[in-house]
Amino acid sequence: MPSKVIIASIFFLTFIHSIELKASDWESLVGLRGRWSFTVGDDPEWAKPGADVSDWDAIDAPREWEHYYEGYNGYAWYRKNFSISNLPETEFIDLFLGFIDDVDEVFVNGHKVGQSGDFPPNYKTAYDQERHYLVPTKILNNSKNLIAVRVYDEGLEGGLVRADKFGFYDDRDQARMAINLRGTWKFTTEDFGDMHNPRSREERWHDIYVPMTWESQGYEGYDGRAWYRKRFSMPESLKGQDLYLVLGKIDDFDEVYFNGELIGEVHDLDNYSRFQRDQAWQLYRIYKIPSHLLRSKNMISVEVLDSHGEGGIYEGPIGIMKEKDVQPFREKIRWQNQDSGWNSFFKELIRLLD
Amino acid sequence: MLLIATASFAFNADEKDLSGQWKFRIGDRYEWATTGYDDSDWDDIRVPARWEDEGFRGYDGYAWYRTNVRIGDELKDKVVVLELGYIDDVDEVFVNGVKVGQTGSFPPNFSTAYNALRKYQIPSDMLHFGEENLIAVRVYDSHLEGGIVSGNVRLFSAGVVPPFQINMTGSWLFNKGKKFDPADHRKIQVPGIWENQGYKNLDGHAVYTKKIKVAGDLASQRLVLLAGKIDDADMLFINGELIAKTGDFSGWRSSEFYNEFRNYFIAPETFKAGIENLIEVRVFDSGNDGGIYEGPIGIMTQDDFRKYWKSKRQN
Repeated sequence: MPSKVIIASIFFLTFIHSIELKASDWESLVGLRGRWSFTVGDDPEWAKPGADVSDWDAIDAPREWEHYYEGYNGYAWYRKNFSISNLPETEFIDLFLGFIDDVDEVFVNGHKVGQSGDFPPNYKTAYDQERHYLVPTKILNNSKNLIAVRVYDEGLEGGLVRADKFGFYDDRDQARMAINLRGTWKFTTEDFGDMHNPRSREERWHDIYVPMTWESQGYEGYDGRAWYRKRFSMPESLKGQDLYLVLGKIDDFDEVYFNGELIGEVHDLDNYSRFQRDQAWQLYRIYKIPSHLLRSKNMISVEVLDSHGEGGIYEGPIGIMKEKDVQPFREKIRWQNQDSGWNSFFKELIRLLD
Repeated sequence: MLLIATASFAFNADEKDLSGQWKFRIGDRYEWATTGYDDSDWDDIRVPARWEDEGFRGYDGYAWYRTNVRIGDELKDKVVVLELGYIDDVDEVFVNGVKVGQTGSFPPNFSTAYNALRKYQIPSDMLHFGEENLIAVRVYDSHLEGGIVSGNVRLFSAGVVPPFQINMTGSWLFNKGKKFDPADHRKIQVPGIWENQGYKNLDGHAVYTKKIKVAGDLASQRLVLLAGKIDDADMLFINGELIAKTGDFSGWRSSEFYNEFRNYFIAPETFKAGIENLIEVRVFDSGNDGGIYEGPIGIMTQDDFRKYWKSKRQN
C-alpha cells in the first residue's frame, strides 16, 4: 500500500527530528533496561507496591511483547523494583520510557506520574510519542522503589517497544541555575483578560509541569494560544545582580513578561525567508531581566502560540541564571548546535538559498 | 482484502485424514444428520471428488455425505477444526447431529461458495472423545460439477482450547446496518466470513449479536471477551454500553487491524446476573471479505486468561 509507505516515512522523519531536539545534558540516575515483571490483563491493584505478583512472568524491556506473547493485543502491566543512590536535591527528576504502543499510565511507588493516550472505551493511541514524565523526588526514597506501567495495545506490536533513553535522569544544565523554576506552573488555554497582571489571580488556572509538552499533560491535539504563570521569591543575595531568565525551548512562539512587563519574545516574522520560518521551536530562550523589575515576590507569565504539532515550554533548563553563568551556557549551546550534523546541514542550506 | 485465516492453523501434530470412502445419497432429509439413522444401504463415494465422476453424471441438486471418525483423547482440550476442502456450491455441516457451520446459501436465496475453503471449528462439547463421531454434510449444487470436490479433507487441532467459561463459537444473530435491528436479523455462524453465509457483496456496516446469561459469581469478576479476528474494524457493546473498539470506522486506517486478535476487558458487574445480556459487535468492512472470521470466541475470567497466555509464552 503506497500511502502507508509515505505515511511511515513521514513518521520516520518526525522520529529523527524528535531525537535531535532532545539535546539536554542528561545524567542517568537509574537505568531500567533488562528484566521486568509482566502480566497480561488489567487490575488497578497492580499499581501498588504491596500487590502480589508472584505468578507474573518476566520479560525484557524495551522490546515488543510479541517477542514473548505472539499476537497478543489488549492490556498488560510491567513492574520493576529499583533503588537510587544519588537522588538529586531537585523537586523533580525525569523519567524516560521511550515509545510505548499504544497507551500507558505510569505509577511510581503507587503514585500516578503520567499518562499518554487514552484507554478504552474512548481509546486514543500515542504510539508515536516518546514518553517523558516528571517524577516528584518526594515520592522516591534511596533503597526500595517500584515503577509500574499499565499498557493498552490496540493491535500490531505492543508494549514498551523501543527506547533511546530508558530510565530516570537528571538535567545537569539545571544545576547552572541560581533559582530553579522547573516544576509545577499554572496554565490555561482560556484568555480571562489581564493575563500578565500579577494582581490577577490564578483561581481558574490549572497545574502543569514545566518543561514538558502540553500534549503529554492532557491537552492532546491542542494548537493555538496558551498562558503559563509562575510565582517565586527572590533571595536577598540575588537582588541588584544582573540576572537572566532561561526558559529552555518553546514550541513555537512566546511573549515573556516579568511582573507584568514584556522582557522578551520570539515571533515568526513575515520578513523571514521561508527557510527560516518554523525554526523557533529549536531556539533557546534566554531573556535579560531588567533589574528595576526585581521584587521580593515575582511573577513570570508567558504567552505561547503553537502553530501545529506538540506545544508548550517543552525542554529545559528552566530558571534564573547569573550573568557569569550565562556566557558558558551560551557557548555550550552553540557547540551543541554545531555538533549536530542535520542542524548544520540545514543551516548551510538556508545560507545557500537565501 | 485477502482472507488469511489460516495463519494460526499452520502446524499441527494432531491430524486425522478424512479423505477416502464416505457414504452418499442424493436427496434431502434432515433426519440424515442424526446419529440414529442407518446409512448402510447408501452408496459409497470417494472424497474429495466431483460426484459427476463417481457415478452421478449430470446430477444437480441436494445430496448428503456421511462418515464416522474415531476421535482419540489426544484431541481433548484442543481446538478441533474440520476441514472439508472445496464444496460446490453450498454446504451445511453436522457433527453428531448438531450443526457446526454452513457456507454459501441454499435456495430460495441461493448463493454459491464454490471457491471458499471450508474450515469449521467444532466446539469440544459436541465431540465424543475415544469414540466414533458422525460427520454429515448436506450439499446443494446448482449446476455443472458438484460435491466435496477438492482440497484437504481432515480433522486437525489448532492448539490448546482457551479455558472459556462461556464459549461463543457457533450461532449468532446478524443484521446489516450500524446498529442492532431487533426486527431484521438472521442467524450466522461465528467465526466465518459473511460473504460465505448469504451476504456475498456486503461491504460496510453490519452487526453481530448474541444474548447470554452470566452467573452472578462470574459477572462479579474481571472478565475477558475474546472476539477473535475481525475484518476490518469493530466496536464491542454490552447492554448498549461501548466497551472497546479496534480499527477505524472510516478512512485509510480501517483495514490496519483485520489480522489482529481482539481481547476485550470487561469490568466487574458489566454483565448483569439473571438477565439476558446483549452482546453487540458492530463491524465495519472496508471491502472484500468481512466479519468475525477466526476464533477463539468466548468469555473467560481474567485469571484464566493470564494463565492461558503465560502457557503460550515463547522465547
